[in-house]
This record gives sequence, structure tokens and C-alpha cells, in this order.
Amino acid sequence: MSRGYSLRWRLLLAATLVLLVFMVVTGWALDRAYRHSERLSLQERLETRIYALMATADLDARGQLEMPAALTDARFNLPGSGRYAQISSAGTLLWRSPSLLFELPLPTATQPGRMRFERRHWQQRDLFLTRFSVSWEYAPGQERLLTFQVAEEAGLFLDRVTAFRYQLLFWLGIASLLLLLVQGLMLYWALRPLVRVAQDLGQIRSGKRARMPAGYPRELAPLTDSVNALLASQQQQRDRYRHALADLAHSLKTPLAVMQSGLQDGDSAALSAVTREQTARMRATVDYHLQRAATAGQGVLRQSITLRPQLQRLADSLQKVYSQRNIDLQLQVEAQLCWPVDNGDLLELSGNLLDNAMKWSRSRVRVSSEERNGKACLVIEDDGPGIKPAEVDTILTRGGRGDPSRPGQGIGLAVVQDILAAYAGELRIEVSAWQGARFVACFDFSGRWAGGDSDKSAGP
Amino acid sequence: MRILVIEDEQALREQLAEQLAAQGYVVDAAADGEEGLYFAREFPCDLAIVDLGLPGISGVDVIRTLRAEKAAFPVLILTAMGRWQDKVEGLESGADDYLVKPFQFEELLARVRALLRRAAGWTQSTLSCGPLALDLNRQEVRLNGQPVELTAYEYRLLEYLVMHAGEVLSKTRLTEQLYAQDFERDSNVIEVFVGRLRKKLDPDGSLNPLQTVRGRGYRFTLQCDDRAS
Repeated sequence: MSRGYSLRWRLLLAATLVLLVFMVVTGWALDRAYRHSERLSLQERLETRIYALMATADLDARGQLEMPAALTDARFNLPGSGRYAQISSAGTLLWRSPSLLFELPLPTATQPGRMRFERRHWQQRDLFLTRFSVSWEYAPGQERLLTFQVAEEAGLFLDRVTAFRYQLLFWLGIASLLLLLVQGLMLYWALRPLVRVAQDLGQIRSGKRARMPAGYPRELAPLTDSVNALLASQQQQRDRYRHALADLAHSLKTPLAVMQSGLQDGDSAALSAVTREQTARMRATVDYHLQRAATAGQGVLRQSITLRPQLQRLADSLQKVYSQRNIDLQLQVEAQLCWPVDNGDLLELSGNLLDNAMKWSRSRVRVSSEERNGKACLVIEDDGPGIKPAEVDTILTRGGRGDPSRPGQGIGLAVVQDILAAYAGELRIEVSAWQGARFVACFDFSGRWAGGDSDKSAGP
Repeated sequence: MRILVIEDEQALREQLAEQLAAQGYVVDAAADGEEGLYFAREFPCDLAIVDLGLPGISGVDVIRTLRAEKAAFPVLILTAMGRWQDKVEGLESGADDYLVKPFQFEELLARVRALLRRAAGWTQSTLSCGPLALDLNRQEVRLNGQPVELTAYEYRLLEYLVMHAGEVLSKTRLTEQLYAQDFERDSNVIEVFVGRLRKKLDPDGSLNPLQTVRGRGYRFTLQCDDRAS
């Protein structure tokens, strides 16, 4: 049996993907931010150095540059330190820091007062350069344009950035693993109710449990409630069958007993009369209880059926059977009307009522539907002799269980009442517009069907 | 009248055949749908009694096939299931009436007679044709109110002719109504019966209820009341 896809794996996969995407985006953003920050830092540092350089530089009276032998920043003094400074004027190199063993690119066009920062590959080195040009007055009216340059090898910068990156990867990685673990635990905890449902269903199947317990999350409630309702409905059906069979067996014993005693008496004429009578009675009993057992009743997940086509089939069939009576049979039920009844139950109920109506009518029968107090009712009326008020009660509660005093009569109505009871409905007998009989069969489709019917039957 | 009975339960089938024959009908009894269809195609049926719970081809399918082959005779279905769903299904497939098992033979007979009457266009069970009156239920004939003694075959022949009053019925058709296939048929027998009927129904020769149409057959000539179209 195919298991289908797993909910847990689905959730896990989705959450993991989200986590990974998040980590990657975060990592990338952090990396970039750091790099940017470092670069700005570097830029500021270089600018500071330029100002420092400018502070230590001096032009003598003739405009010659005077620089101290050693600078305060030790790195400018060490050859190959990676930090360099250079002062030039109009394309001529004037001074190099001891650390600078080569020449920084000499600027040609210079604009005084503007700090320029750039990264450049120069003589196989990766350098960050800052330059600043300034017009220096060394004597009244005498000016010299000086260009100060400070450079740093990118290596340091790159090392820092790489180090940060490794740290970032490491810690994000650890965080990801931890989060994945937590996610896994959370999913396990969150999906526990589903595992429980499966376990409880397994227990129901193996007979250790009769119902789904309470305490499920809101989202699962419709499912578990429906399972319980289905189980209850199944149980009711089983009970119905059991009761019907028990009643049947019980009811058959009486006529059998009567026939048996008739046999013992040995009077053959009386015996054949008794046999006839009792076999008719047994037949009625069997019919009745079989009908009861076959009633489907209101189910939990019942599809609705459209009434009109089914009633039309019934009407057409009965018109055939009673064709010589020329009865005007009107079907006044909306074409769209749908009820959640079992098709067999509907046909059984309407068949019995309609057959009665056709039998007793003079020439007119009408089938219609109406709503009374929230119940859906089927109305079948005729223009026959009608039923006297005094008889109504007798008809509706004909006989006790298993005791058909007049076989062949009354079973139809008893079955109708049984079917209605299975839908928490009832049968009413009224007077039709033509002074005949009017049978109103009402079904209660509202809410959950919660009760059974088996014990209250109006059987023959 | 020829009746086709399709019923798989042997005891019931034989009992029905016997009881119907005792009432004067010629019965073709089949044990399943295939045999039933064969009989229906071979012999002129006036009515069929079909059990719904047949093995092989179902009763409903047999009826559908009969109707599809333009068989117009009435069909009565027998069903062990009392449920309306089954009755409706049977009637929808082409049957005209139903009977739930177990049933009393009297009830079956009454329905059969009603169906045959309807099929021939009659609404009442007593046919009055001028001075002649036929009581189909009691199978009695009266001339001007006085009962007429007829043998079983004579009655059957007369009944068939009257039910199809005005129609010319061939000798072959009339013979098939009186005898099942196994019996020997003498082509003269119809003439003998017609002769006897004429003597009994029309002793002074003034009525002439049975007309011989040379080369074609016989016809009942009297006008009957209350014949539905």
C-alpha cells in the first residue's frame, strides 16, 4: 500500500530550505557590511595619516621640503611594512617614507583641497591610496603645490575580511545546526497529535477502543468527530439489524406455534384455514422486519439526492400499475430540491404513501414539499374518502411489535414511520384540500443525528 | 390466450404452469432468460410473467430486450424483494404490473386477467355484445340473460374472438391459442369448434356472430359496449 508523501518531511524540508536561505542571505549581508565598514575605516585611517604627514612636513624659506628622519608612526619607518607615504610636487618626487622602496604613482593633474581615495594595482601590488594636494605658502607671495600621498597594502585589509568571513561561516553554521535541531524537535512536538490520531485509529481497528478520545487540537476536531459519528452510525446500523432479526425470530415463533398446535389437533379443514392465516402473518412479519433492517437511516457523510427525478420515476411506475384508473397525479416538487436521504429509504417511504394514495383516491393525487418548523416535509394527498380523526391514532400506532392482526395492511405505514424515525422525523395525517387524506412525512436534517430508532417501532 | 412464464424456481414454475393451464391458458414455461426470450420470439405471447431474480440474464434485462424487439404484450413481474426501488426498476424496464412473492394464485390470476383485458382494450371484466354477455372472471357466457353451456375449448375460442372483436383472426393463430406446441393440431378443429359455437349461440341463424372470411380466417361481428380505444 503506497504511503504517499510524508507531512513531517514536507514541513522539515520547507523549514530547512527557509533556514538555509535565511542563513545564506544573512551571512552575505553581514560579510558585505563588514567589508564596507573596514574599507571606510581604512579610508579614515589613511586620511588621518595624511594630516599627520602634513603636520610634520615643512617648507623652508626657499620652498624646500623639510621632513624629519623618522616619523611618529613606526610603520612608515620600516622598509616593507606595507604602509607608505610620499610627497611630490608638480610631478616631481620630493620625499619618500623609509618604508617606501619603490615609487607611488605620481599624479599629474591635481586639484588642491580634495582628498582622493582609491584602490589600485601598482607594480604588482594591491594598494589602497589616498592623496591630497595643497598649496603651501612658504614666503609672502610664494606658493608651492604639494601633493601628499599615503598608501597601504590591501593585504592587511584582506586578511581581516577573510578572518571575519571564516568566523561568520563557522558561527552561522553552528547556529544553523542548532536551529535545525530545534526545528526537528518542534515538528515532532507539533505533529504529535497526528501520530496520536493514527495510533488511536489503529486501536479502534484492532478493537481495543470504541471511540476517538477527546483532547485533540481544534484543527483535527472535525476529523475525529466525524470518525466518532461514523462509528456510532455503524453501531446503530448493526443494532438495527440485530434488533430486527431478534424481533423477526420472536414474531415468527407465535404463528409457527399456532400452526403446530393446529397440526396436533388434526382437523384438516380448520388446519388449512389456520395455515393460510398464519403463513400470511409470517409473510407480513418477514417483510416488515426485512424492511426495518434495510433502512439506511441518516448517515454522517450522506450525499444529497435530488428528489424530483426519483419521485417522477415512482409516479410513472405507479401510473402504469393503476393505468385503468386514470388518476390525475400532480408532482409539485421543485426541480432543484435536494435532501440528504438514502435513495432506497426515499423510494420506500414515498412508494408506500403514494401507493396508498393511488389506491384510495377517486381521481386526484398530489405530491408536494414544504418546510415546517425547520423540518423538510413531503406531502402526499388524495381526494379519496380520507381518514376519520378517531382512526388516525390507531393507524399511527397500529398493533404491538410482531403482532400483525391484519396482514397486508398497515405494514406500509409502519415502515414509513420507521424510516422517518431513523431520520429523527415523524408522520402526520391531516385532511387534504379535497376532503381526502393528507400524509405529511417530515425529516429532521438539522445538526448531527445523535439518536437511534431501534427501540421505538410501530410495527405490525 | 398464450402466457409465457419465466421463473427459475422449478416448483413455482411448474405450479404456475399447471394452475394457469387449468384456467384455460396455454402456457410456455421457461427456466431462465435465454429460454424465455426464445419462446417469446417463437410463439405468439399474449402476456409474460417474469421473475426478477433470474440467473444469467436478469429479469430486468429480459424485459428490456423484449421491449427493444417491439414486443407489445403486457408483462407482469414477480419479485421476492418487496422494496419499491426494485419494483420501480422492474416497471421502468418495461413491465406493466408487479406482484411480490409469496402471493396467492388468485391474486396473480386477477392481475393477469386485468392486464389481458387492458391490452385488448377492455376496461370491464364483463363484455356485453348485443344479446351476448361474457363474464371473463367466471368464464361464463349468457345469451339474452340465459347461461350457455360451452366446453373449455369452445369458451377459450369464443373469448379470444370476442376480445379481438372486429379483427380477422387466422386459423393458425386461433389454433395456437388453444393448443401448446406439443399437442397435435388438426387444421379442421377450428372449423368444428366454430360450427358448434354457431349452433349454441345462434340457434335460429339470425345473429351471425361469427363470420367466416374466406381464405383469411374468422371474425366476431357483434358490436360490443365499452371498448376503450
